Amino acid sequence: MTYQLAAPLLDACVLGIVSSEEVYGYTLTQRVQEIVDISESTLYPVLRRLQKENLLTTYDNPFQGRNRRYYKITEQGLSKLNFYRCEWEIYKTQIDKMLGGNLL
Amino acid sequence: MNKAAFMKELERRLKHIPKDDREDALRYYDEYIDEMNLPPDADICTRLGDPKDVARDIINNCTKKHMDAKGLKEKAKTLWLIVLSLFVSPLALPLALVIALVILIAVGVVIFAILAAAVLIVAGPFLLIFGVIKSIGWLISGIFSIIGAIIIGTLVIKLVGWIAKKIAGIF
Repeated sequence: MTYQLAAPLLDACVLGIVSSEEVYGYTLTQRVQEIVDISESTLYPVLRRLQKENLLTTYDNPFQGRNRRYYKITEQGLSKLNFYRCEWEIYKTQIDKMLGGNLL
Repeated sequence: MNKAAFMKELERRLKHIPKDDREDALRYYDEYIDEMNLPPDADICTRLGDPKDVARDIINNCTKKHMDAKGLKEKAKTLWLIVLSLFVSPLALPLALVIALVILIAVGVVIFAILAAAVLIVAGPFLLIFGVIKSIGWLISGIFSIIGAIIIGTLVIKLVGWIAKKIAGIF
């Protein structure tokens, strides 16, 4: 993978995924791994932090005798996600300018 | 390592962090490993890495949170977590050795300087009898020892300050 995912961008992606689909740790990791090359232990600290910052909450859902802890986005989380989206648009535009070429 | 070994090792490495942080982390990985659905004695480390590294990320994350804590008890907890995360960092051993060595040298030089000064005070009168040139030599080496101690002491303080800045920079 050429470009590394910086911490705020990873936070943003996690919030983005959770906002469209309530997921538990394993599924979330698989989703992120479809797009970025992260290790399987990368997301736990991110999730823990987002939860402590009140951007995500959790609820438990038993499945086949074990428990799955699902993550769900909060109001604050949605605000933060919107902020990240705006920042990303700006950033994306700047990078495109620097890279040049005709990107559609 | 199989799941039991992995979880046991992870728990061991997390034993100094706050209880709810530890329990949350263990619960997460317990669930995650089950979801991986691997054969019973499969090696967890090939997917999750070494429990040492997993624990380090968790500990570092705890510390970051505590940096904003207020109150003396919280600050003490923060300091403890910083020390802990420093010891789990890859730099820990060489850094600890360097610090120990520098402190040892500084202490040694200071003690020597104090002893040299003490010897001077006590031996002064006798040295006058034994020759002025010799006593001047003692005096000069005593002064150099004290200067050396001051210089090294200053360097130690600077080094500690630099390290503290680096630690603050990490977080």
